[in-house]
Amino acid sequence: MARRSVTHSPVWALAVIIALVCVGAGLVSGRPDTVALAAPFALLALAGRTTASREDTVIGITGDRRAQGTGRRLRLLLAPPRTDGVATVAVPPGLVATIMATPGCPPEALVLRSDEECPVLVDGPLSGEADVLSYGSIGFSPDLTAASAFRPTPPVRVSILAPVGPMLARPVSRRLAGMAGTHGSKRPGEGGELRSIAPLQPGDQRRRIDWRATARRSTDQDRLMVRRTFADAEASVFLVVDQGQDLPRSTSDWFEAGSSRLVPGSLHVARVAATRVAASYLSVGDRVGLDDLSGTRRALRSAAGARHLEQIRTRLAATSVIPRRRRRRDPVPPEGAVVVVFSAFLDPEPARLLRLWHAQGLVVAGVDCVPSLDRTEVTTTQARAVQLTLLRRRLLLDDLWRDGIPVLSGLSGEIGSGTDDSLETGFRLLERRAHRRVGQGSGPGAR
Amino acid sequence: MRRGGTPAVPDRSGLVPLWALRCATALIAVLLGAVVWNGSAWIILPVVAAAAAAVLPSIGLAALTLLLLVVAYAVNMPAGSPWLLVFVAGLHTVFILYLLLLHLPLRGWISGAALRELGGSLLRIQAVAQPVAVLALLVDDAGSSLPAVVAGVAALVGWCLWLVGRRDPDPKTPGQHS
Repeated sequence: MARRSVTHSPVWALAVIIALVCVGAGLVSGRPDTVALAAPFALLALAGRTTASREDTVIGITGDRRAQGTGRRLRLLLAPPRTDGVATVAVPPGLVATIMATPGCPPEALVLRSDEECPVLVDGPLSGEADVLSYGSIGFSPDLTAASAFRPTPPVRVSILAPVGPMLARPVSRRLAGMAGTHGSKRPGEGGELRSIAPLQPGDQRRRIDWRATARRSTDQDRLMVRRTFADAEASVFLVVDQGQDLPRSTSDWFEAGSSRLVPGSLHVARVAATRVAASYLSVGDRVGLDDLSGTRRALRSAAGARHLEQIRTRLAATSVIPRRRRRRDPVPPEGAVVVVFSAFLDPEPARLLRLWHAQGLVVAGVDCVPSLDRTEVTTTQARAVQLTLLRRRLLLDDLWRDGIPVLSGLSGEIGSGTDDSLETGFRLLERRAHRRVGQGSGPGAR
Repeated sequence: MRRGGTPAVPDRSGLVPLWALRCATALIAVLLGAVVWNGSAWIILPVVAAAAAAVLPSIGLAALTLLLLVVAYAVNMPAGSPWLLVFVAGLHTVFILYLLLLHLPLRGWISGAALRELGGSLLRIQAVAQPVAVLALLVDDAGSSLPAVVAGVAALVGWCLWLVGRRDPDPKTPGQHS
């Protein structure tokens, strides 16, 4: 018969050593009271001998988000496993130490009885996906003589959708392609904007007859006049998010390696701004598409509706930093679309694409997603690196302005509102410019 | 390097911070040391060892602290001292708390229910250890009186057999709280 291998913990060894020391000292000095000191340790060693090989002291602790906290605080629930597939799990008595760590913090322990629950508040990201809590557990027998190995658990990952925010003005291209919507196009068809009043022709619908115009213009009552209109059309918007970088607000964090803290960076600004733009257009029935510059995922096709807004928000929440790779071809916006590029403009690629689409006659705008920076560089080298980066960025943005491509600040709300290049002001100006362009026709001086 | 994140915070009452448990552990060890190292300047040694063992996750320091207490008791305490009962309980408590803190990071919390579970386990062992200590004192005082020793041993054995023979309650199912 094979013998069962029994491994003893250092704790068991320590209890045995202390018990032996007590007994030895008592026997040498002839004092039974010193021998009696060994009693609890001998009993613990005896208990440890029978439980040292137990592995069922491990208790799985699960994170749960049944209740949400307020603001950035998320409420998680640490609880023992309730079910294992179909059967309810019987929790062995003992203690469970949960070692947990939030991003940027040293680990902390939470020791509970094995059948206890405890809600925990952790910080979540303002938007996007992030691991908010890494944790693992150690199980102890009630007398602590047996302890399981540390069992790590997959971290708690949450996905926070960017808020929609107040609506923006909606500049549109003059080349509207859709067949339904709220914008007036230059094509004849069904719509609200009057194009002309003309005699009835074969193919004209009878409900188009304008009886007042007929009475006014057709004195002999020998011909009927109909109203002809411009077709209504929906606008198409193409959002392009540059996920090549995520610049934190604090410049000293630019040089930090390792696990990142949950600080909002340029990607958060991009998510919020893109969500606002998408929601503004989708609220009036326009079509919105989404793509990124990294070229790792398929573009979200252009569509309309509230469900599409949720798709866009979900896709934006899943946006994380992915290094840009060489693409076979540039993203292709729909014909007549308004193209908005959300980027930190640290390299020439977004500017190149903006120029390309601008040259194709599309209405384009860049959204600068760098948050308002805290200059917290530690060394002179860091300060120089930050200065050079910002200088290069400034040159790129100035070139875009010179080429007639507006670049708006993606900051909104309390930070950037009211400035000339804020998202609200910028889109209002773009809308006004687009109206003027439509009024002037497509002449070269329309810009 | 410490980076400025926000730590997780339990959203519940009835939790004791681990630093309080560490302080209590060190305090018990120091008080026990103060009894056996009475009047000696060398008391600084067990004090430092006890404090370090409560903070640092080292089984060596815990062993050193416990051995310093045991050996000092054997050397310095007079035979038959009633402090034996205190030492049997105190050494056991310090040992258990060191064992718990050994696995834990510096900061954290422990629930009152977990402390009660620990206390219950400690009391179960003390239910045998304390009579053993009383018997040792009895044997020390009346070592020549055979009937007294036999009666004491018989009482202890009877007590232990009664404890062992008690039926264990059913294991708790999830959701049951005492």
